Amino acid sequence: MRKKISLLFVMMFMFASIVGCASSSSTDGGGNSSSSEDVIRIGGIGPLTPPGSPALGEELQQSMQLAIDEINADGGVLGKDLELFYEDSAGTPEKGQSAMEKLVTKEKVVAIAGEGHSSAALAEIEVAKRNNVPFIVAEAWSDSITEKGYEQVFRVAPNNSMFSKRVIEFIQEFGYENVAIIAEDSDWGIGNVELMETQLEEKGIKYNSIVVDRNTKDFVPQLLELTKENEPDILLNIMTGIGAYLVVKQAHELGISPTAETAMFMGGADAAYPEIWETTGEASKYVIWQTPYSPKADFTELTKPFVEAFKKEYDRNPSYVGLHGYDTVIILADAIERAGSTEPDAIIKALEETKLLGTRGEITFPLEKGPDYHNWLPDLLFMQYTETNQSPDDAEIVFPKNVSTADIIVPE
Amino acid sequence: MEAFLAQLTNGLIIGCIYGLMALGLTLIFGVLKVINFAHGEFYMLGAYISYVVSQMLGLHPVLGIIIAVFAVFIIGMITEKALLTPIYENKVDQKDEYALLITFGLSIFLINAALVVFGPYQMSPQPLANGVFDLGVLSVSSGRLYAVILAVILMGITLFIINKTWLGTALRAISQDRDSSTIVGIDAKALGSIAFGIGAAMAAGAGALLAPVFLVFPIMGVVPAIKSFVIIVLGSMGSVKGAIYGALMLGVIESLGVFFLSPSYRDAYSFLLLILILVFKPKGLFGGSQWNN
Repeated sequence: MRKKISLLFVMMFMFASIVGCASSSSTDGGGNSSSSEDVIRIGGIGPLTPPGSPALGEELQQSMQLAIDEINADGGVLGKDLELFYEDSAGTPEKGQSAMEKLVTKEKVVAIAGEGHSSAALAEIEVAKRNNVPFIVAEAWSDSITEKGYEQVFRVAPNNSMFSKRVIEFIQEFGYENVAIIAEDSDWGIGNVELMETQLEEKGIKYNSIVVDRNTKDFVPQLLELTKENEPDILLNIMTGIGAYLVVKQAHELGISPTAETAMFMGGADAAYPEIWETTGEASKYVIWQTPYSPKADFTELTKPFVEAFKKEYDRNPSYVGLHGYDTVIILADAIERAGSTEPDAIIKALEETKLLGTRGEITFPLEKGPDYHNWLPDLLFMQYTETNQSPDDAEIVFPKNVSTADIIVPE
Repeated sequence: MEAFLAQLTNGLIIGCIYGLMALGLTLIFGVLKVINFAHGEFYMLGAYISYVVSQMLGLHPVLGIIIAVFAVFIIGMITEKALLTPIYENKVDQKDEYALLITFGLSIFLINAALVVFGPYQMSPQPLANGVFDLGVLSVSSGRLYAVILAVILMGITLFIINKTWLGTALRAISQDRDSSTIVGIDAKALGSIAFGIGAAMAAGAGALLAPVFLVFPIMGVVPAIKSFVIIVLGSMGSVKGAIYGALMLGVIESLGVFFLSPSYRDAYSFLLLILILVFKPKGLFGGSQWNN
């Protein structure tokens, strides 16, 4: 009996640790028959299996491949074709780290781009630094990624300080006075809550917050706790993946948000994925979410052509993840071209001197140390779903005012 | 007070669902003396089958649940026949280890099979009902409420089978002594398969019921399975009563923890309780492993 129990525990432990990697599968973008002589090998990394967000990882891979195909059709870089080697990070530090190692040691790539989860990216930048490989982070927002000041690490996504700053700007603009925050226990979630709390305190706005386990599926206790003898003006859902959808669904069932009294803001990129309607149904109507891109907002002359090409190739509209992925590749191609070599130090130097029109604006990398070091910061749009089953592209831009297309609709 | 009652109600609701899963696990352990490590994956299988029936084939969601339960019952029986038979034919030396490893392997296989067939995305079958039910202290989605009611009914049916039918008597006999029961003419092999099938079907039932509430994805069964293990250790492995009380207790303790301590560590409270039980009452709260106590 006792033996069985102790065995059970050993197995439980193994089980918990293996499930993380059980679902591993990696895909190489493109064939790998060509020798390293006549191609330039570019590494891609991102989550293709849970607990990471597979929709995100797949879109990164597709957009990077698209950029590479375009560049190759135009004659390549330094007279050679680019080739993408894409590895699954599952959004976890362990898997991300080994995927990076594989790209560097086995595939021998000259530079790497991608990743959409901060916990994984934080492990991956260590590999980039140790092996001196340039790494452009496409979609992970933790400040620490660039704040560490590694010269190999660049980023084209917003960082947390920017995200939280813009969220607080939004809260001030619409005069919300009582804020409730539910956040996941990831680097992204916890990092954001701390930054938001500091700023809300400075501005004298009332708030309460709860950090929750990402594996939990029943958020009713936490939601009840947040609204106990309290009616917030807005609920900030700082979650990703399944948790983000479940919070929307359960807050709606409890009648907490979105309601006439309490708006709902979804911080994760998941708000823009089509799964939102199948998983949350009518609960997501009136949800406010953020995105660095909407087809209703035209950033540069590259935006439309990319969107068209992506639609043609993959038969659906890209989210901003696609724009980030695409930009990372054209930045790398531009830097390698200017560097005239694939030596890491030369590429890094060229990257620092980048001045390139991307799909989202003119990209430059600041050199001043801090969270914005090597980090080009794009715009952030606040959107609202006004219909059930609305396509993210049809949602209205409600903030910032200079690009907004409609006012916030408050449900009855 | 009202906030406390709301937390407590939610705890009991979740507890009932845990109960269904834990009961299946304890049933399998009671009869076969095997810890089924693929229990969470039968839960997942039930959810995917109900998804296929209600969303892809467009049939009524109740049909989805019924088909899920029966399909997994059959799958469970086949699994038992195919994978666990060597134990009873004395083909393996380390029986406990063999059973753990084979069900563990099955679990990894099923997770990856789901990943290949359905992809990693989260899905949701048709809910049993839309709208919200106001319980006074707490408004509950009707989907969740139906899930609990059906879970209680399923548990009731299982208890009836165990306590009042010939099948149940035979199963209890096997659980007490496999060899002696064979002497009095009980076909332990066939009944073992049926017990495994019923246990797996209960997990599938829980999965199908909860699929629209907590969504469907390949690793959905991991956390519920671990909770079920906690419950059956808590309530004494193999004890039917223990599984039900243990489940309700787990639900309540989680909500108490949320209310009095911090909502962030909800899942930690059950494990804390488990450690305390193992230190002070290692046989669980409801005695030994006989399951008609």
